[in-house]
Amino acid sequence: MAENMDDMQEIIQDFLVEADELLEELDEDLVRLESESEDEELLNKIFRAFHTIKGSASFLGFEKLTELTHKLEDVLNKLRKFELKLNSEMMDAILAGVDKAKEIIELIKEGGDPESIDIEENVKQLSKFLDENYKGEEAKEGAAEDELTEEEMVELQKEELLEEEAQAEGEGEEKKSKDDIDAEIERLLKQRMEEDKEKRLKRREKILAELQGKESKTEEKQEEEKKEEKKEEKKEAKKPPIQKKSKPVVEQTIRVDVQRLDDLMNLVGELVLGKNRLVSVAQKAEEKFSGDEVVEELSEVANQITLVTTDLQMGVMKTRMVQIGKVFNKFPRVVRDIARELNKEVELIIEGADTELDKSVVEEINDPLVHIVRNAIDHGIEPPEERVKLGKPRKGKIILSAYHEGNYIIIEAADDGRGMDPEKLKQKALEKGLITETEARQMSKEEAYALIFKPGFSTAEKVTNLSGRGVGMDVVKTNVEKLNGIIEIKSEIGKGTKVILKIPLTLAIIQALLVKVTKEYFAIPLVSVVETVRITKDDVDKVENKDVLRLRENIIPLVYLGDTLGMGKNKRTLDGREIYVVVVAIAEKKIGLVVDELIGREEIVIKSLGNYLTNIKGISGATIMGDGSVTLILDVANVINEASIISANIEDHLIENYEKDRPVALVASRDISDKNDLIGYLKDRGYKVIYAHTDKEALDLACEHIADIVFIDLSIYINDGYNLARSLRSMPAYKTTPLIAVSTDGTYDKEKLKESRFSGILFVPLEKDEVYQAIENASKRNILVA
Amino acid sequence: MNGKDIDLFDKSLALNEDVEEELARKSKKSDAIIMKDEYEQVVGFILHNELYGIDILDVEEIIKPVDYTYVPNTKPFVMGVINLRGKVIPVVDLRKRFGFVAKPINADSRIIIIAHNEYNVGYLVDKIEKVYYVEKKSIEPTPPNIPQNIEKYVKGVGKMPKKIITLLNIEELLKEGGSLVSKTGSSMEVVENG
Repeated sequence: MAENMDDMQEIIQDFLVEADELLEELDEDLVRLESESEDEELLNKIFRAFHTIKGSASFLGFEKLTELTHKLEDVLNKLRKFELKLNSEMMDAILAGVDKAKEIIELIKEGGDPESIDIEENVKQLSKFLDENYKGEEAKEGAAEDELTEEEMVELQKEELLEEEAQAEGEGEEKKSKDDIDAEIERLLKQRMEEDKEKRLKRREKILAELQGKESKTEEKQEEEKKEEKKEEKKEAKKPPIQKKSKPVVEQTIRVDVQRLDDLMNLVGELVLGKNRLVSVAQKAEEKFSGDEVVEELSEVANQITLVTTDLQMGVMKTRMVQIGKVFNKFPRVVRDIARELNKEVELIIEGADTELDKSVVEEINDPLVHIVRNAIDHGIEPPEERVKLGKPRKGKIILSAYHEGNYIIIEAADDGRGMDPEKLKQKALEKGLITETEARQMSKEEAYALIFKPGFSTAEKVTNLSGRGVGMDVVKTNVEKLNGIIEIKSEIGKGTKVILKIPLTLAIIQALLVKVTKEYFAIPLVSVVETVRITKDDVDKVENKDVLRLRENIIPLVYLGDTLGMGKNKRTLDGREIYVVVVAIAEKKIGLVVDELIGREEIVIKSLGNYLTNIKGISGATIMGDGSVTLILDVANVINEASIISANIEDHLIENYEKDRPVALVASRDISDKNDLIGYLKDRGYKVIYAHTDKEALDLACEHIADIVFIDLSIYINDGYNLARSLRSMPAYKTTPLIAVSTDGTYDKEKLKESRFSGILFVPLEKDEVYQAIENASKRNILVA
Repeated sequence: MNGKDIDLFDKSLALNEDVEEELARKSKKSDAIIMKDEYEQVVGFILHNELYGIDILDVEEIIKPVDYTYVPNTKPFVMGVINLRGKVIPVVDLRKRFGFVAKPINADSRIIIIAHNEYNVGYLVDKIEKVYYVEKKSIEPTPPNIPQNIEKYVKGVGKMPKKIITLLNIEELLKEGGSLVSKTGSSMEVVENG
């Protein structure tokens, strides 16, 4: 019993998936049918779709759905037999029927009662057309048209043949009487018509054959092929008919649970981490024991694993890829509906529908696109009369296109409407109090376009004479931000607007730029990084007491990354002669993040911070690096937002601006009795002493107070003193500062001391004289080095 | 401490003197096996010189402090995140959480990794004692003299013959989360309007 139930459930699942696909295609086909109402194949295809759904629905006992699709099928049956002629009233009823069917399917999916939906209205509407007395245009007209075309074709062929004859015979045998020629033409024509008839017959057979058991997608392809065929036949009628064999194309596909693919992707993510680690170990080994045979072998293995992992990652990613057509194909219907609603005439052109991208991205991209297209029709495309007056074609044009660019997919929505006027946009933003006069004056064209994404802007009541787009554009922004994407707008007044979305292909594994600020490392998704520049403190300009950078013709706000994350207070880590700026952009905004150091580019796997740390400002997740440490991934959108409310300036973080009245000593040590002695000695010698219990604390304090000398307990927690020294050495302020090691157990590692460039070592118990001696030696050596 | 190297989760070894003594006193059943239902097994640890306990079923493992990564915009008691075999796990300084005086990490410091429902969090404590068997009967639900700031996180006090152990309500500790609730929301408005 239970098994039976499961079986049934499975059948229903299959039916739902199939119905979904069919209905989706129907939308597209129906809209196409509106312009090509005589296309027999299209009519047949639509009829079959309804027929299929009806069959399955009745088998599964969904009565309402069966009744509805049955009616739709009947109407289509009449249409395809040309007993009825399609008009817009009929189209509306059919589309409404399809919508209702979708509604029922949705309800079944949600586990609701599919019989609870009211289909009365739809059935009534559809029945009207089935009535014998329905006064639409009658069938004969359609047939007549058909005949007409056939006649035309004959006429056409006649002419062609005439030409052909003339050419062939024009050369020599002029003597042939005109009658002869005519007779010959008659004969040839008869032959040609015979051939044509045969061809048509074959085609019909082919269609019939297809009727039984087919994969809808292959069918589509074949149909397209056939259409091409047809055209060719018409054009090249003089050539003998080429026998075309329909080769049965069977697509070998299986359906896979998305969850399984997700799991697989996670595992690949782990593998990438492992690979990164292996590579870093191999590198370390090479540095240490270069030339060793085993090490070389290790590097070789690491390289091979890298290659295989990359391939595997690509492979798994590809299995998750779907064509963007899945989204695009909804748009003919969307455009039709919106255009009708707004009384505009719009033609939609779709390009690059076969461009592939990750399933999860596809799901997120639909809503933004609908908003963009809606706005394009609403605010961009002019009413038909206006367009005619302007000398534009009556029908507006919207082009949706997609293509790949590196690891990104570019989706463009272009219209040939009014375009946007930056001045008007600024004016409106000013009225709304979203920007100040000065801001407005300094705003570039692109920045003005970006105003449409401001929430305040979009909720504004519609000002019809303004060509700005308002409705729901902040939705676009939010969704694109969520995908780490970038929005760009190009517009020309009177010519149209183009919205360009640049979105990473996948969300799980990304390329990132590693940067360091204070003692922390962060990964910035590369998709958000526009460029990196090195500047000096003199390049920093001020606008209204905020730091900006003049980069080519753009003015970019500058902020210290630490400030945007709320960890920049009192930190002095910047060397005024060498300031690194990462220019990042998200959606329409662009800023320069000032960091201490650029580390490099790395492929990272995004991991969540878990349930305990959710929605952390400025952080979108974490990743594990090759050395096993955790690095946080910046939420660039959030950081950019945060940046606008920061009052701290770059100069607050310059090392050279640290003020001190006496030399500073940093003592990093465990809580041992000797440390108190040491602090005492240092104070006696006139030092201001800063004390840190752990290495973490020491690094934090080292950013806040620029010490002149540092004492490091070699056994300090959490990592040892050697590591602390190495970290200090990587900070600009401590490149040459004397570091003095303190060994509490009499042991030390000479190699490591050298590596971290310690200036001296002391052993406990610490004697005053020894400490002073060490200080003097260290500073002497420092002078020598300098 | 002779129990230093003892596997904390080996029940036979974890049976501490307290329980044995107690069992001995109930002489009738001196050689009886402890009935699971009657006792709660807790991991005992020291924090600010007091003995606390966490239900052993919520403890995934106990590790020595490792290098952690600071996470900005978290509550002050969140130390950061660590990498535990490929998993990113937040670590909380329990002393700070309870408002006790900070104490730097030392040789005794340990991180108790908690796995409870969907949560995975590490808590830094001063020192791990051992696994205690606390008789359920002797757990008092309303602790008499628990400081107010931690009262919410205490589910009871277990009385053992020689010691008392404060049992923590891990659910309550986890639920509050470590993210800083965005406080800048209001100030942002002001700035934008100004």
